[in-house]
Amino acid sequence: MKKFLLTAFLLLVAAPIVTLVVIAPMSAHNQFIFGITMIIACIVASVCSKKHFISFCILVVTVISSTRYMFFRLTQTLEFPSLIDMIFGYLLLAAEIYVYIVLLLSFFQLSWSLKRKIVPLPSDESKWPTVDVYIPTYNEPLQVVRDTVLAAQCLEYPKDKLKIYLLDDGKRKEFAAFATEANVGYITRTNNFHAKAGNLNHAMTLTNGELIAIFDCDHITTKIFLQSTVGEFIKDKRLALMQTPHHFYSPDPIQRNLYLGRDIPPENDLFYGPIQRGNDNWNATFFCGSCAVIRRSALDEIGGFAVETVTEDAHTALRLQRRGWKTAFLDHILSGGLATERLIDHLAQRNRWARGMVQIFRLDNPLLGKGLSLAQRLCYLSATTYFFFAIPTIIFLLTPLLYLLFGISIVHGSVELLLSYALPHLVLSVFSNSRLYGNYRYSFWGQIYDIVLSFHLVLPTVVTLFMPHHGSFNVTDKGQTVEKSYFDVHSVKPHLIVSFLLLLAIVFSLVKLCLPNYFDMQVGPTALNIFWASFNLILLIAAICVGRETANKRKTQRIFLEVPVNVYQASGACTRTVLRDLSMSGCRVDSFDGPTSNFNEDPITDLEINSDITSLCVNVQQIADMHKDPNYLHFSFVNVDLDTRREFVRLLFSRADTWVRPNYKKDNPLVSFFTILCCIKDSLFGKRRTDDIHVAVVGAKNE
Amino acid sequence: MPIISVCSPKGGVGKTTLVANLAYAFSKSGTKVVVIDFDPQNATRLYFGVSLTDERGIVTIPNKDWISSCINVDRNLYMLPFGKSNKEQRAIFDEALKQPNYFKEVQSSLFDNPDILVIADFAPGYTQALDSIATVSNLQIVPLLADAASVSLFSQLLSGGLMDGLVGGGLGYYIVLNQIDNRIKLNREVQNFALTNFKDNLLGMVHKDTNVTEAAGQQVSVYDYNKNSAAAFDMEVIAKKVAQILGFDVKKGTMIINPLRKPN
Ligand SMILES: Nc1ncnc2c1ncn2[C@@H]1O[C@H](COP(=O)(O)OP(=O)(O)OP(=O)(O)O)[C@@H](O)[C@H]1O
Ligand SMILES: [Mg+2]
Repeated sequence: MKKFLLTAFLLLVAAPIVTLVVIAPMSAHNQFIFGITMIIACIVASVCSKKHFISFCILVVTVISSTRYMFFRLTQTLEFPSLIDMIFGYLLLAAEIYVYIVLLLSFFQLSWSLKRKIVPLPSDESKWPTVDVYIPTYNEPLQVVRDTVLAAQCLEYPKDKLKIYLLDDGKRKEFAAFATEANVGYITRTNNFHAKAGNLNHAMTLTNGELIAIFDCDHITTKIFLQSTVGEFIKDKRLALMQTPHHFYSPDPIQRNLYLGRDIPPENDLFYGPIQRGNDNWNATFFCGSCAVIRRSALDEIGGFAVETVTEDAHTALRLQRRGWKTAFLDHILSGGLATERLIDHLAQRNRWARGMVQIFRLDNPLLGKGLSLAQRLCYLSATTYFFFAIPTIIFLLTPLLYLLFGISIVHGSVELLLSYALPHLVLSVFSNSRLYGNYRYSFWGQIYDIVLSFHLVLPTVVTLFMPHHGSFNVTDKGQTVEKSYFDVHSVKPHLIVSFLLLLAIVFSLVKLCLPNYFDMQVGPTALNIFWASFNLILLIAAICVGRETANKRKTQRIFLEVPVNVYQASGACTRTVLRDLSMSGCRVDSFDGPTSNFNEDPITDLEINSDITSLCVNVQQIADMHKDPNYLHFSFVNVDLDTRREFVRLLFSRADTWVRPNYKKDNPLVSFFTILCCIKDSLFGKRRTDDIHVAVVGAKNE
Repeated sequence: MPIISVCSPKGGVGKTTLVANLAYAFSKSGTKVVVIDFDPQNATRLYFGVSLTDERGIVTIPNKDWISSCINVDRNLYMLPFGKSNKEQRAIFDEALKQPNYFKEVQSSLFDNPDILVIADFAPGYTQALDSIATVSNLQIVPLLADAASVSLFSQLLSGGLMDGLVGGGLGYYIVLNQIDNRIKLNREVQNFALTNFKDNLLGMVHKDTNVTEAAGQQVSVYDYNKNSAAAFDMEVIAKKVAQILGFDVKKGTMIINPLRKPN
């Protein structure tokens, strides 16, 4: 009854009113007043309340204002003086329609997000399913893979129910030797068919755990990963997949080259937070290839991991869901990995994702076919079409050039009228995005991420759209470091060219405006286009700054950890002091004085860490410290054997509280834009950091 | 106050070291401590700065009130050396100890004083003194070395027979594993063996640390010799645990050695 009344209300009262609000034509003056009223109302509402209902109302107002703008665009601005104008005019319109649809989809996806809780495992261990941990690798160095395997061995789960397998598609002898020494399973195969998906499918024929946990070879898990994820599988027999966030403890190229140490949410936070939580609400979480648990019987039903596309992960999830299996997303960081190190690797990775998503769009379109709910279709549609953003982004970048350089006018109508419709639409969409997920992505940064990628994604997306069977899997390079700072001209060449053109257009038009006697320029449209071009130019320059690769020398991550340690000296004296920070290769401890503190005569040879997590003893060598701070002693580790290394992993990466998402300041669009300007300034003129920029981790307090 | 006996089937395992440093730890935190040496080696006194030429001791006054001959070593800290002795004197001493309820009756002024903690050091293996004190002793601490030879001692201790009747009284006996050295694999294995077999009866472990020998050479506590010594810290932790087991309050457990010092 309630539902019926609601539907009736929506249809009979709300719909006509909304339609009227959307289509009612207004003069520029009235429309301005209307727009400003909407903006002020939203800001006031937003300041007054943090409630979800208010957010929803703000979204509704935003959708109304954007729809009103689109209606205006479609009905009043499409008169063109010539064919050329018409072609470009429709291109821009298409780009705007794309953005409008994406806005609607993202509102739908993000408005209702599910904050899933950990389902505890039953106390009766016999009910716990058996788990196979797969660590697929292809060409990554052993140095990267090793700690991942050791961390998997630290997982807290009954020994007889947990098996760990290193799936080496590179057929490397040293990997086999390592697996034997570490006492984990080693699986390799004679061919490399279907890349990662094939590797996983092959392993599935050789093992038999009820659940399969997958970690990419650089994703180091915490010990509570299985305890946090497996419970849900016992509770819900139709659950096929539990995905957890990919968290990167090394800076990605954008963080390293553009944030320059500032506290700005990294690029993938939005996806592994609001987006996947929103998907989860509609039972449409998709698999991201790593840090996830999958039910074997569900995989068996769809014939294993999907091999048709280069993003086997998302496609596999789609297949599972078509069969009625459920998927879930747990928003707890339970593992940490390495971000792509350089811009060029970042581009290659996104290139693959883009191709894969378009492949799914073509080969297994979520709108078509059986088995999905409407909401699921929309969520998957949003994911599979996401990478088409490249073309509209470029259209928006280039459009102001048309008017400024060639006088092509592609939007019909007066500047005032256009602005009166467009401004509320633009302001409100920035504003409600900020309200919706500002803590996960600051305003305008999304555009920068898009611009970084866009020129490189046009070709792959378009080609794949027409030839979906074309293309192969490329593995993202991980674990390398940028040895020396350099400028990756190649990756930002298109950006440089467009920036140059924009700058040229701006200068050219300004000159023209200043000489009204010689040139006939309309002030309104010219000013508008100059403003637009300048905005584009700023974002482009930010994207170019990402190509200025900052050196990142430190090979391993360092964390701050305060635990008591004992040091052994050559004389046999054993002294207690405090560890201050630790990495896989060395550490820093408090210096001490007393009868044994002449370290030149009586060097420190070993260091013993005793905490509630682990106790280990390792050979050390004192090293000189750059800062010459007498309060500390610096050591590097020598002769670390595997057992000791595993204990280091346990201490560094395996703790339940290893990864904590920092609390970022609330987004403010104006502040965010200013921050972008500061980042650009520092990147171009500021002192660039040459030492390590590492993502600090909250140190575990012992005792 | 309670009586703690530190004894061991084996010599040179750190009994005297532990006695001395426990005594220092307790006295520093405000408890009155009397250390009694029942070992004819008469070496315990050397840990307390008693001069080599001082030959006084309890062996010559078996039936007198010992408390009058306590040597004051430090604030709160007293010591009764064994004394220089010959065979006859020791025989007479042992004979005296054999009297039933010797400790309860003859030395009541010392052992019944509720304000005093008594820590007794013994010669290795079976001795008459150890046998006699068993009737009044509250807690027995058995130091053992973390070496391969100790493993057989462990099992003999566990299965009974070795120190029966000597260490069972009061709250029972506790093991201290001395001279642990985590650089050595065998040593670590012995530690694990002790951990799994003695469980809660393992009072603690003390690092092998030359600060201990250096401190003994200078007749000071290890803590006073080097406040950063790992062994000193370990023994202080053991003292805290002993206090907890015996149920008396040692300044609410604050440590002399701060486990997490800030750099100065
Ligand atoms: N933790 C330690 N680290 C280094 N040396 C130690 C340690 N503990 C004891 N020692 C040394 O071992 C030797 C024997 O110690 P100690 O005299 O305390 O043993 P004991 O059991 O009393 O011997 P005894 O059976 O002869 O009475 C001494 O030289 C002492 O300094
Ligand atoms: Mg002795």
